[in-house]
Amino acid sequence: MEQKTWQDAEIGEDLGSVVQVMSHEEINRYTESLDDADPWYREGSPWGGPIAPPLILVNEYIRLFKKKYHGGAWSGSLHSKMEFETIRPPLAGAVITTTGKIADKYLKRGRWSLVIETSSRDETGEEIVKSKMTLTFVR
Amino acid sequence: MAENRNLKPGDELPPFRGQISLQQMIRYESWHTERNIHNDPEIAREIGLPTPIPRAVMLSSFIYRMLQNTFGSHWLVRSKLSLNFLKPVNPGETITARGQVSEKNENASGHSYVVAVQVERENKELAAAGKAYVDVGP
Repeated sequence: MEQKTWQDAEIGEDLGSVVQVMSHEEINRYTESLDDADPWYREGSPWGGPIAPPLILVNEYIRLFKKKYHGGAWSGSLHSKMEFETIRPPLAGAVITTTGKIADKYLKRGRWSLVIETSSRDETGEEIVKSKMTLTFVR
Repeated sequence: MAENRNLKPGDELPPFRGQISLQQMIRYESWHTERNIHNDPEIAREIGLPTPIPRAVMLSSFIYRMLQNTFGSHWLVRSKLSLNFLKPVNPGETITARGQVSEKNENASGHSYVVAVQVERENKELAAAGKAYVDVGP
């Protein structure tokens, strides 16, 4: 299969979807990597049971992009900007589906940037997180 | 956790300070099946970095925790963070998330804040800077 590179990305291009289960193991892996012992993630929270930190979904744009753009497709890129909107936190045990698209592609000061927009919804279809991530290619 | 509704423009939030160790970075990257500049010293050296560097979004977690410490559950409902990543940080260096209230606005559900946020490196360089929007209700 031909490997696409970021240069092939087109504005409006659908990146499909990825699914992440907010299992206790996954929440623990994430919070331990950030040394975050907040009891809301293990015991209970204002939402009833434990929640996952919303930023656990912050890298879903990478998974979406890599589904179409394999291997070193974005070699030489820097994450230059992020916009991250939390509508509410994911609940422990929830199954979160994230969809995404290429929202913009532009050249500024000799460097190309790609903007990837995502929307994450739980199994009821309620949108819980939105993001807009900008990658800038330095080579 | 505090749920501070009484801040005013100019007020500084209690900073959140910490380090990101190489072990934390490797664990953070464990969802990622590829070797990269965030989890592999050899790959990092190939592009001239003396050591792997934390993924930029790890810095945003410091800002999240600072805002959650101040605004509690309000920070996790209808909130927004906009950040520019300016400089990479090194594993093990002390980094500090800071915030200063820039606006307090009345809205239909009560009031909201705009907070200027940043992540400062040990040498005082800015690693990230931007704005946070939080609705704190009535």
